[in-house]
Amino acid sequence: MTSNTAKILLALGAFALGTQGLAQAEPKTEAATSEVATVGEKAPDFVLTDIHGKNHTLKGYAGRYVVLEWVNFGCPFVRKHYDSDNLQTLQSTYIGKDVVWLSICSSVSGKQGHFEGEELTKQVVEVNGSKATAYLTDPEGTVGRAYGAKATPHMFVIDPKGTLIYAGAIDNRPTTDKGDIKGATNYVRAALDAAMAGKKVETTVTQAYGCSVKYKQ
Amino acid sequence: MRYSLTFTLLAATGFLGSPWTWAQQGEQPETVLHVRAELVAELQAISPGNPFRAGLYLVIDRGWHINWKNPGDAGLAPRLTWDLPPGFAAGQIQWPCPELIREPSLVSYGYTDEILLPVEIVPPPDLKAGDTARLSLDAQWLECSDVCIPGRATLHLTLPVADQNPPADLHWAQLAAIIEERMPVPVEMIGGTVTAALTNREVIVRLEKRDLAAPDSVLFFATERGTIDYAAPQEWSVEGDRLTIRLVRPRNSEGNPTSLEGVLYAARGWGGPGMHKALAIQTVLPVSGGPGWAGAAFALALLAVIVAGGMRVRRKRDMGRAEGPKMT
Repeated sequence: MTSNTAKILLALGAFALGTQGLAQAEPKTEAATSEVATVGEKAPDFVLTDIHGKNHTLKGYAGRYVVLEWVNFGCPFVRKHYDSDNLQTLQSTYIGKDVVWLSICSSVSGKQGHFEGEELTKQVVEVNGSKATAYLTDPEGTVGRAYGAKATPHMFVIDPKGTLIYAGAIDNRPTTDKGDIKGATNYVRAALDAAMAGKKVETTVTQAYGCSVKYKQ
Repeated sequence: MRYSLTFTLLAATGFLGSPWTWAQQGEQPETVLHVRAELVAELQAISPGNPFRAGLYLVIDRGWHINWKNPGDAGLAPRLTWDLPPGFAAGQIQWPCPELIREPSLVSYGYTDEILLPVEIVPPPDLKAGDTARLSLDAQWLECSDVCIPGRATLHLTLPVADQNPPADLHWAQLAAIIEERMPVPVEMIGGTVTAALTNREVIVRLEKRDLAAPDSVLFFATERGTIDYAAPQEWSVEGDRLTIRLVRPRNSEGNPTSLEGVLYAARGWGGPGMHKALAIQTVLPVSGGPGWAGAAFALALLAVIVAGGMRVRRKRDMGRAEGPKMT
């Protein structure tokens, strides 16, 4: 091959690459996807109030693993995990390992799962025996929407650097049957155990199953 | 009928109530909150060894829905557990095409108003005319409006065994008419082919059919969770004999699905006015090798050839060999 031919071919190759670059520059039709929490990226900060009136921010828990559990005590799927003591046990176990466990309810006033005042305290402490670090209410739905919480229970795991490492279902048996808990793969447990041991999280995203989050319209 | 001690005792105490009807028709339909359930069969009697359809008929209160086999963003698929006499076998639910049920910020796949979920039952060949067979069904579902409530019914249907050609059940015929248009048919039935491809953000489905009539509206229902964003708008267009529909992938999706399964629905019907409204789609889902990718790959390959060629020229000069045509 002559060097002249080589130069021509090189030029053609560069041209081909260049035009492909132009072809790929489509106008952005989608809204900025980085507005909703994305696995592998920084989890959005928030400030929400717990049942005792105290404020909690994600930033305030930097340096620790944080679990966000979207909850609605009236939803049959949430009941599956509370009536069986599954969630309370998970909460105790990981709080014992210095994980911060925040239950968040984005039900708007008047919709299933929304409680206030004395009734709220009763539901969290007495009726459901929550062992979470805190139960936060998000009646405006801003934090739920920032995370893309769709169905309760919807679970998010954040590492000590503030990166979202898991988002989705609590386990792989999308039913309301308590009997399905024992044999199920619990994705939250798996993500925490792996990350805390310095290993790769196997399943980082699943589709959450449950009842729709009762957002404010 | 087999008489047990328990039965005799119960009969003696008058404890047996009306649910024990022994009639050919099903027992009284059960109402559980917002959904009324009934077990029905397409024939009035069973013919040995000949499959027939039985089904769960549900009447759903206005404002409530139950789910399809894939519930979509929220809900739970109905589950049927059969208790059949020895030798009988039950197949899977033959799901009619669902509806898209929109709630703010999410979408469920399901049914409203009324629906029939048929199942094929295969009786054994060794039944005798004059016998009866009692089919029992434990049906579980989730009924949702803005809240979800578990629903359950235990239903029984006793059918006599006839030796041949039992008559059709008229009640079934009426109910089956509700779902007939919505039962998915294979694409071959309308003489079409379907292909699909996966890009970073979309699943693109193409239907090719001779004399394709542009539909009014098109909807794709995905069977597998995590394949598409159920709530996203589905853009579609028709060019000649080809329909293209673009489905948005879920925002957080991990890995690439390798196959696409679902139902493609056109209210107008794919096979002619009102005919074959639902197509059963089952196809492989390759990653799109579209023009952008192929062009870049070609350019890179070209560069590689050039570089390799250049290196070969230099080496020959260094070694002073003269092979083939003279190099300048």
